Amino acid sequence: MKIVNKMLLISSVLSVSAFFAAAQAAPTPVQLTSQVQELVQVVDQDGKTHLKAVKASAITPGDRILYTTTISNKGAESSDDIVVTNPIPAHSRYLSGTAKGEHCIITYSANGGKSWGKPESLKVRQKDGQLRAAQASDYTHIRWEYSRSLLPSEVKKISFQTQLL
Amino acid sequence: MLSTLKTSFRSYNAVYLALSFLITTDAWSAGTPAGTTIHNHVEVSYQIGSNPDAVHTEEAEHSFVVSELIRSNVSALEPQGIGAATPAQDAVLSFQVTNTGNGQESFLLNAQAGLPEQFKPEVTGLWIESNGQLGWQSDDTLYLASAGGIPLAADESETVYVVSDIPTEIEDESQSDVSLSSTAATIKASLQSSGGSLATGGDGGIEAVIAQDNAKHQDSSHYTVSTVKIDVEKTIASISDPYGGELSMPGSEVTYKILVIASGSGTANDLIIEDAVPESMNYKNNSLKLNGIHLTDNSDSDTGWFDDLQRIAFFTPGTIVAPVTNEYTLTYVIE
Repeated sequence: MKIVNKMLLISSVLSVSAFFAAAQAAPTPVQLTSQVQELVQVVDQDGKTHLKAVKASAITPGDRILYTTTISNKGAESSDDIVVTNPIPAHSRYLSGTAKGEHCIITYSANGGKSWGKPESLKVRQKDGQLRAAQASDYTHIRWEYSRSLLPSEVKKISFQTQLL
Repeated sequence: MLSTLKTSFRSYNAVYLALSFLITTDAWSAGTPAGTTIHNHVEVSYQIGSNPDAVHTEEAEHSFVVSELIRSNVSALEPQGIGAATPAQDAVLSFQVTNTGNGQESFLLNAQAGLPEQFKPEVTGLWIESNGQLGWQSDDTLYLASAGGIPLAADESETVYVVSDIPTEIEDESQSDVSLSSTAATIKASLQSSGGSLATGGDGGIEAVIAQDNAKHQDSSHYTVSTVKIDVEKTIASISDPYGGELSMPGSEVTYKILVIASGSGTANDLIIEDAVPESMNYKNNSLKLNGIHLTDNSDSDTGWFDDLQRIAFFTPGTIVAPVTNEYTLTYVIE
């Protein structure tokens, strides 16, 4: 178990805005930030072990990492059809069942984002050409489809966990 | 009737178990190399109002650098220990030292021989396997602590030999433990507990995480003093003349029996019995046997062969555990 008082190594958050519709001149109302935390085991007063999210510092192979994306509507109108796509970072293994998002339909891709589905429907092609059921470690992307409108000033968080290989 | 005996044997009173090299390189996986930058890229698309063409996208990124994990593994290659004579020189215990971290690291080696209540082997040197021939030889590389440790890349291993002299007149079956430790050479790493970190101690000045208390790992094995007595007896088992009798005459086949008797207790190793062809005789091809089982004349995986050039039969039992008796037979033909 790693101690939690490690120094923050490198943490850079970059938010980039872009428009598909060139005619739009208004500032982008939906803003996105990405945060990385490390999950460490802590023991409570009853002796039970829990995972606690702490500042990401000195991450080494085997560590469990929590990625949290915050979506904020800074505009005056509601935003609809919100779809968030997050490739699984390199050198990382997605941990099964850890993708969270309230009011979201969460689907996965095991082929670089070419096709999407629920875990039970995903297949990967083996070297011998045969298809087999995809494991969480096969996932290459996660996608969240928010089923509601994001109202002005509303903030939503989605997250997933990986293990650094 | 006994004929001229020119059998000789080479053995060591009590000796070393054959090395059982457990190549464990694949068992370790250092993982993502230290210094690797991990990027997370997330993208959102959305729509404002009822215009389906007004699709916007936003992106966010986050990255971090993988720190160096300082960790090693020492594994005794003869965890069951080895036998040693008393006195004995150059009793060799083998260890494998592996960098199980994810960066380049040097490791300082230290051997401790003999617990307080045990006899005290004198460690004469630590050696690094370097001549490509398994087992310690004097042209392997002597480890010098002053050199700053053995440098190992992630997942890399070295075989380390702890070479000791065994004191004289040690009681039979006495045991002495020998441990080998590897400690990361990074400054102040050895002062850290497991989970501690050094802000700039990693490769290229990145942060290093210490995975083991005092950045150290060790394993141990032991010497057991044992006395093995090897006796070799050679007799004629049978003579078969060309006429169906048992006379010694030209053309007679003389079959010799060589008994190798290991008495006492312990293990003898590197045992070789040589039997030179007697004068005026020739070796009968394919006549080597061990306990009645045929051995080939070739130098191969079985424990016997015949050297045509030197005209010597070799029996190579290698390691034997006393008490045991092996019977070798071979046949010569009188010229």
